[in-house]
Amino acid sequence: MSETILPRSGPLHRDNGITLYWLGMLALTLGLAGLAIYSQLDRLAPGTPLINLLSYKLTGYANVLLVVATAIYLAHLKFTTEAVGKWATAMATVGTIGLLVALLTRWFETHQILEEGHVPISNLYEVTIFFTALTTLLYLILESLYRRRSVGAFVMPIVLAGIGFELWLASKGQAGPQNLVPALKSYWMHAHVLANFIGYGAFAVAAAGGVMYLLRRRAEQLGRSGGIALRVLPPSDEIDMLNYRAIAIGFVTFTVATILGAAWAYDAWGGYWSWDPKETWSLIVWLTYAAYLHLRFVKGWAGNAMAWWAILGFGVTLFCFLGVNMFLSGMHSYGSLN
Amino acid sequence: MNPDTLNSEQKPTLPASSPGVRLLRFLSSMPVAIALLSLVALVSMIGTVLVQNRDQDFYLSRLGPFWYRVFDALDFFDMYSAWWFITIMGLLVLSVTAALVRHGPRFWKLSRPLRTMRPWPVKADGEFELELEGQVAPQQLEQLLRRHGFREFRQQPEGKGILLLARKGRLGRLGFFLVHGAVVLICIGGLITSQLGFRGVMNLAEGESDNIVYVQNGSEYRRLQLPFHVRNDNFTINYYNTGMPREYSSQLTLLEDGEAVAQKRITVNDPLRYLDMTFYQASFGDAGSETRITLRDLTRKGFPAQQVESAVGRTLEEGSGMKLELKELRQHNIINTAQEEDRQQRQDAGPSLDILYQSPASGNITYRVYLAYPHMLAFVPMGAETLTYANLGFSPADGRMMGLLAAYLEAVNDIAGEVGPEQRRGAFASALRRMEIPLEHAAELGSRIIHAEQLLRRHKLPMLFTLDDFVPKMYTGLQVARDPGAPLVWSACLLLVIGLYMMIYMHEKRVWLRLGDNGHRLQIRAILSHRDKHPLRNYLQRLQTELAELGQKARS
Repeated sequence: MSETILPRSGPLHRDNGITLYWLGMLALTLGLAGLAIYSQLDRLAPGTPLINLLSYKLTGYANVLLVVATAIYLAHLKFTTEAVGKWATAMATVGTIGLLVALLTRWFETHQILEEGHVPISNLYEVTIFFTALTTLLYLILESLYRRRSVGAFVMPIVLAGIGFELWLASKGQAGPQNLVPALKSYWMHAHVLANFIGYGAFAVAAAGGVMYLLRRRAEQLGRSGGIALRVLPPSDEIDMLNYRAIAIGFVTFTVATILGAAWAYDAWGGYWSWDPKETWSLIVWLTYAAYLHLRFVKGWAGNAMAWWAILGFGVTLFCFLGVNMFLSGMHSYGSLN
Repeated sequence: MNPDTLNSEQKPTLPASSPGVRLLRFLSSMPVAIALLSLVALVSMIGTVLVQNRDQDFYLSRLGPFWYRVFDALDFFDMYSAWWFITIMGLLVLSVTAALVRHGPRFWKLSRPLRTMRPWPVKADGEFELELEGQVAPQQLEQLLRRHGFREFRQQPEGKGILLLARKGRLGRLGFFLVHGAVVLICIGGLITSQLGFRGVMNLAEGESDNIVYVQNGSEYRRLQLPFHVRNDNFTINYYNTGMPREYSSQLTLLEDGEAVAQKRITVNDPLRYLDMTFYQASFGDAGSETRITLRDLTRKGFPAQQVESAVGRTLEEGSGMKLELKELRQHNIINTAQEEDRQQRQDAGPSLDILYQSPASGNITYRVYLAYPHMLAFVPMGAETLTYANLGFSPADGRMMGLLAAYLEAVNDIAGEVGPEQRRGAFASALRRMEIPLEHAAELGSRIIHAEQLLRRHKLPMLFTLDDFVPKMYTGLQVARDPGAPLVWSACLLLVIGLYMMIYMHEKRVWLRLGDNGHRLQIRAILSHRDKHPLRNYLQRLQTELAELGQKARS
């Protein structure tokens, strides 16, 4: 009998270890960011090349840690000892701290090397870093709640793909801090992008859960009792639940993000909805997950079909995030490759 | 078997429902809802792949006549306002409304406070039984459930024991109304916006005022008259020091009977709102900047210079068939001056003017003339698409050098027979004499003249230009919108988010606890509002542990 994924002693259950972990993470992030910024004071001239920026180096180091973390999470599938698991969590945690510190440092740096600084979520490179940081963070939250490390082996490859995309962007010379075009100068931007990426991250986690579910079910059907999938993956019920929770979080934040986007469009373009490709695709994403929730709530669907839905839904989400900017024209073209 | 012969044990047949009820059931059914959600998602994709609302030529050149006609017949070029798309959206709204009508009354009742005891459920979503080690009082159960967030309790004696009913998440049932109602309201808001509102454009040169808005209708425009005039006092572009635009802004004044009623400097994310209308900074362009240029005709003897005052957008014609079109004035030209490829070092080369030169003899050549770098020749040669840059070595406005060049070429042309280095040297010496330039500069000037001569010969440039002066005159492109649906949409959006939160995170849970055997035996049955019963199962598992603990405590 597997352990339950819920805390054992009541809804108001507090685990001091977890509290300490998150407080430590917050303190380390802020402390290191403070240190990084302090060390940069008066050292940055306008136009400092990217490779000399501390944030760029930090991003690189953090990426290495996340790559290592991914490898350990995968290894943990085979060597399921606590020691291995702890290393995986530690690497992912430090990697996330590194990315967050890098983003905070970059925020400061943009103010030094550009005439007008900005929150570093304004071009494809910056939001990709943000996406990898948020997805890892969301996963770590789930891990600390459910204490299931096997999920990491499925979420981290998505993060890895993000890192790959980020490196490719950097190799194309798209990584340097750039001045904002007038359309992006809006307070709506910060809330809009933040909410969107929490949504994207949650959908990514759900897709990883979908893959896990399918593997687990297959192993169960084949009846190989000693199989790796049965040994390391949580019971299918739990994975199913994880998918639902991730999509629920994602759906609420994505709805908020889309509304914020509409509010921004209303202030900038004179209409809250213009059937711009990005808008239309976010509607498609919304409808995809709305259908998921209907099937689940009303029809009581669960299991295989919902796992596939989560995976395909993330495909639609990815197209909305990247495909629209890369393949279609529209008003979100500032997020495109140039 | 004939249905009429069914025996009485069979469920009584439902009364024949009216067509209206049947339609309601059909529209609000889950397969229809899912089908409509998927259909909207699928057809929406068409308009993201096929660029919308362009002119006929655009589509014809890309699709060819056959597909153009097919797509045109299907309204694919303006599909989001096509009748079939509106119909699909309408059906979706209808389906949501039908769901509200069908399930509304039941959900409403369920969301009301618990007034009476509800009987022990025959069918439950989860249940368990528990032998308690110690005696537990109903108050203790209530206390425990209260800690779990249950707020509504009812109890009644039942035989020797007690039946307790606890409920939480009552408002979760209201989430259904908020979410589905909000979707309907947002669509109604959108309809109001599209039917009663408008979005148009208005281009105003600096200092000009107007009251006509052009509203796009498919690929056509209709004129719309505002009850007041809009004046563009000035339009400015602020630049970063890299030369990238930093901010576009227009100082607008609204005039009613010549009197200013509103005034604001608008920027891209900060429009002017007046009455029920909003004015957005959307675009800008050249409204005919005044320019003074000098042209030097290289095809004529002595390279005669001619100064011309004109404006951007105008075309100058000469009897010989030569045409000059003043195409575009740029105030900033950002050039990457970094030596290494991957580095970016941007520099502003200042203002430039694009001139299209057309003549029967030389064809079409586009020149880009820089104010600050007159010696830089930049041009798009005939048949090419990108600019070619070449350094003439001196400004075409340099009378001495241009004169020397002209005199030299003339002297070379006058040579009869073979032209060798010796003859060239002679021609250059005579040119120097003609220009009364002392011989001591001959070596230096000679190499510069040869360089310029080769350059002009290679590129066959018929004319050289200098931009002497300009006075920019810009127009601002305003987006003008009236959106009476927006307040409804925003309110509905708020309801949507609140409702979603309620639906997803406030599940209605009802738990019946049957306490018997003198407080030693518990039977539990629970009902969850959602079909998805996982959370309930987990919850009941936890509850069971805690109740057992409660029993243990009661014993000790």
